[in-house]
Amino acid sequence: MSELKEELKAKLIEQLNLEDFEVSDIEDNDPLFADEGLALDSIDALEIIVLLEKEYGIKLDDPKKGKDIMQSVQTLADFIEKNRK
Amino acid sequence: MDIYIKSSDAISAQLSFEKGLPEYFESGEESFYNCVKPEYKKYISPKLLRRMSPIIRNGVACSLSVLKQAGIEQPDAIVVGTALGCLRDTTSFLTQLIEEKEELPNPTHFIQSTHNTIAGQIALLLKCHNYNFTFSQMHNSFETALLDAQMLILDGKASNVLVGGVDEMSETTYDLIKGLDCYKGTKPGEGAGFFVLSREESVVKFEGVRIINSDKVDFEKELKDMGLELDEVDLVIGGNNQEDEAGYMDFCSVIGNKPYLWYKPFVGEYGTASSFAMWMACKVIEEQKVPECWMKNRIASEKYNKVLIYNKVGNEHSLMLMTKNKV
Repeated sequence: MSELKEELKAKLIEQLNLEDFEVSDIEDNDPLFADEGLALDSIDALEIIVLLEKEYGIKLDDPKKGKDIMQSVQTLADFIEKNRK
Repeated sequence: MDIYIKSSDAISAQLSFEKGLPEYFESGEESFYNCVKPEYKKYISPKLLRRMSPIIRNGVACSLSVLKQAGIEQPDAIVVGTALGCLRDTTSFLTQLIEEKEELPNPTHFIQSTHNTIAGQIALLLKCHNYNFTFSQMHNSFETALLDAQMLILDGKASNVLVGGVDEMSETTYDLIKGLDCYKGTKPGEGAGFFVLSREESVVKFEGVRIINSDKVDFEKELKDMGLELDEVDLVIGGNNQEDEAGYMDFCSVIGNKPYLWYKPFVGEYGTASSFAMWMACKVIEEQKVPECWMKNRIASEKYNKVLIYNKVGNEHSLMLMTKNKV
């Protein structure tokens, strides 16, 4: 699990072009979309949906669940663990 | 009605941004020119910057610089010329489409692959809902934007117009274009040149632009139509790339022995390269001096009050005229 979280952080930095971030700067429970966290926006949410499908083969069927799944690296990793093929 | 150039700036392969005409050249040993990167964070927040490809960064930073110089927060119009638009985003988007078998393209590259992304991003940053237009007319893209800006002011629809030209060059684009006729013997490049055209009086006066699409140009007639007496021209800036380039010989024979500057051997050829020439003209008129390294024929003048710019790529020609305002 901790390996997956580190991998996720690296993929988020690369995919979302988070130039000012290192993997070590992101805590597992940092909010992804709030200013006190990574301050991502709706385009980033789309990027994460694409990343989940491309990298882990997981399709987000119910967009309403997106808010809970994308709260933090921890919630994303939990979702991937439960659903990856 | 007179039109003035209230402010100008250029991001190029030379140290031009926020500066005057450089007195020496940055070495250009690559097969094509890329811009010297300015400190983008001075103009664009890191949050927005991370999603912008180089062409958008250059266009936005250059625009914000000229608006700041002119003391304008909201221009009445934003008009941008770009020949090939956001090539890096387009390349990434198309490559992903092919690699992913037309599934799961990256949304950011898709959103930003359109030509009007730069003008759109400028408007978003300024929260400017005014006239916003992008022209793509290959090597006359900047001139077309300039003509539109001029007409907006002359028609009384705008007092201050942000106008510019921007293009980018990547490895992929270079590989695709290096065999094309129009770029033969030419080092491709990239850059952004932006200006605030205004009704408000300032040092540089914009006299006009002529766009000609033809294999042959009657220069005497064109210059006459611009109301220009050749004797009055103090300086010419030409789009030549090589010594004695055939396409420029006709033009040179008409203008005779005038001080002549060139720039494409030092910033490269790109669709909106003439925006760099217009920035050069503004700087020369403002500073009344020409660094020797830009001179093609080593003829100097005591004054630089009337500057004529000629650009030609294939059958696409343009003439632009700028003068020093009598203030």
